[in-house]
Amino acid sequence: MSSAIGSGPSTGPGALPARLAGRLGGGLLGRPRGGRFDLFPYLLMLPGLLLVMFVTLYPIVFAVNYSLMRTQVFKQLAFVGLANYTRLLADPRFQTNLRNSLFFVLVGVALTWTFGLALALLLRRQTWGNAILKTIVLIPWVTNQVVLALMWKWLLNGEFSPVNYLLGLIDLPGLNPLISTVQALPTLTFVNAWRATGFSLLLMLAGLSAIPVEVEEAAEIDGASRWKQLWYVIIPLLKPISLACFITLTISFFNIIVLPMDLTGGGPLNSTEVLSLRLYREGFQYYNMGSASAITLVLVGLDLILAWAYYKLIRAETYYR
Amino acid sequence: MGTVTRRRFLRALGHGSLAVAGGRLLAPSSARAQGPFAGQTIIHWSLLNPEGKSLREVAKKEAMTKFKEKTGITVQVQVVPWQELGTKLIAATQAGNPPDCARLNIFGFKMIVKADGLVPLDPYINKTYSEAQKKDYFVNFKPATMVDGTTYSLQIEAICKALYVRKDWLAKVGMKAPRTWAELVEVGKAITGGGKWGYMFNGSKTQLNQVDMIFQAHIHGRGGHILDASDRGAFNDEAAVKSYQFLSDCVHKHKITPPQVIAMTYDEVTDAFKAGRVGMIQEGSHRYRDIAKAVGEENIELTKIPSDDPRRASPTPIVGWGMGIPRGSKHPDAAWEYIKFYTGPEAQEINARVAGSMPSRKSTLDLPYFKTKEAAYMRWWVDYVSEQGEVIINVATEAQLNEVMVDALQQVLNNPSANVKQVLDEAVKRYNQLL
Repeated sequence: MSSAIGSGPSTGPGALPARLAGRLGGGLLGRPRGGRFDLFPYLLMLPGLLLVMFVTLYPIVFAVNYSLMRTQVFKQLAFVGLANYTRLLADPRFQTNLRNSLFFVLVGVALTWTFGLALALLLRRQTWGNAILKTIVLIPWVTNQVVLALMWKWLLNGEFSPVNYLLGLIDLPGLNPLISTVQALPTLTFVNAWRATGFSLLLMLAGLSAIPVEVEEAAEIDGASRWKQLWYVIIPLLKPISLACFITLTISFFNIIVLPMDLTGGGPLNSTEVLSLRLYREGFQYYNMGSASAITLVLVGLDLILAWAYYKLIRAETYYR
Repeated sequence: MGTVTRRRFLRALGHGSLAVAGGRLLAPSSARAQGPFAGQTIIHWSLLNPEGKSLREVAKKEAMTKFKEKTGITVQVQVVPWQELGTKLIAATQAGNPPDCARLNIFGFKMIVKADGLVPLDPYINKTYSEAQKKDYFVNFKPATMVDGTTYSLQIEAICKALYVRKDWLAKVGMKAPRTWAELVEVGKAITGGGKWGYMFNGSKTQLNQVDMIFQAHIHGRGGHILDASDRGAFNDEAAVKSYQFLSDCVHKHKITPPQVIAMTYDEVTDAFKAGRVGMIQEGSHRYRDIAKAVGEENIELTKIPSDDPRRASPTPIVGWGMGIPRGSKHPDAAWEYIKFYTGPEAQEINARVAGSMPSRKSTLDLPYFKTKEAAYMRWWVDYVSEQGEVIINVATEAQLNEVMVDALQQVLNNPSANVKQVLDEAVKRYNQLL
């Protein structure tokens, strides 16, 4: 494309636009022209690049800076090197937060993806009923998390729960997971996976619609059962979209605050306190900006490591791109 | 047009004067307002939306209208959720974009001052009030408004706690409202059953700053301390151990409190009382009207918070809202006018009459409204506060203090055989390490 544009007239009325287009095209393809580095395309990108750097790099630089300081609210008192990090790593509560976050994210992403795929397989045919069901599944994803937390808290409140009332009618023991240090985190993880299933469903539906019908038909003709079609054909072909789903959900789940805050408050006994909630408390309840910044960078690091791991795992076996 | 004679000129002048005078009389009162700040607009951060429908919001609108009539200053309210007011104010002052005036709750007050988020009000106070007016508060609010001898906030209302008891439930079991914690257990046992509970308190960390109100009444009422004179943790004394043991016993031994309280917030406990699921809770004066609406005023008995001594109740912890001028305010003088008005008798009477808010000024209580039957509960509270009112503990590390205390409570509630003294020793050590 660049050569076509670049081969336009070198003189006459169209010369300047053609030269400009040529420079643009060459630059966009990243080829130095005539051995000289072409700065022009980079200059065109500069405003956008500066904006992106401001909204992404600046907060990271800010966080790195504060994470190396002893602070009083926003005031930097002294440079303390890695002291905030070493203190965090030695803090048993931080270790609990880290374990909770990893469980919450890894199990949560797996559940959300599984629920999304299962529903997508059930609802992939375009019918009126399926359209309504898809909308219903999507509602929790677009609903305010405070509302969802209050609803689940009411449903799971041991004393006043309508669910327990119904269980009692059939002589089954009531549930009270939110006061149990063992059950509270799996419950929170499940509720969050339920909330995000709508998002996963949308991605999986998009992925399924991109799989050629012939591929599934060929597998069927070859005698593959429904389960084998799913395992050996559909899931492998969904890997690229699954990667997008995993990475988006991982970042979203690592950073969630409202749902755990309003559903469990991190309790009982910090059993559901995830890193993001601890970050919120350090930053906006204790105003300990040094620790909050250190936790922020730990979260960014975890996000990047998991994104890289997902990418490596999925890229290793991607059949088409 | 004829020639301008002396008579015509005087007649025209007379008509003109009348027109001007008439115009002034008919014009909206805000246009008549005189004052050095007339025409200015101040930005005010509040949890209340003057266009809202709640009683406190209706009262706010009425007060703002009166303020504009008096001063000509327009107040533009920016609504901020109450639990975020302090946080956002600190961020806004840091960013150099604060409002002109903001509501301040007691919990976050010292942290905002520590973050250099407020301007001292003393120059305004000294210029405006006499010595008598400076002391015209029915309780000493200094711990909630001053840091190191400098005033940064003026208290606009008081929220006082008491024990709310279901009077109709008491009548059914033929008992009287409890005066001691032992009596509370007896009443609790009598009314617990059939999905109803005797006593509830909040044990969740979700509304963290509402927790020390429970502990302050319990521990101080038993003669103990939450903090020592140098603001270090002291809630491992005998009174604190007794208090934690009592709360644990309510759940595990007496079974008058559901185990669910470990996950219940302050709002949820109030809702449980309003829904008729619990017979006794510690609650504030600001919610009296709402609760009365839900369960019927005739079914509520307000009683002093019990103690171990039948002759002397536990103290009533006092919270409530103040108002201050953030550092960087663009119209601090006009903002002071608003604070002055809001802490004056006129606005406080509106807040009490419309919204049921307890005033902060002693002189306000002399107004006719406070002699009415409707305000009887406020007079009861004023007596209780005058006798045993205590401003809630507020230190810059208030969030950490509450968190450590709730963690200890959750440990005790989660494990009935926990050694309470040991749990509190560890909690105090943890809190003191944070200082």
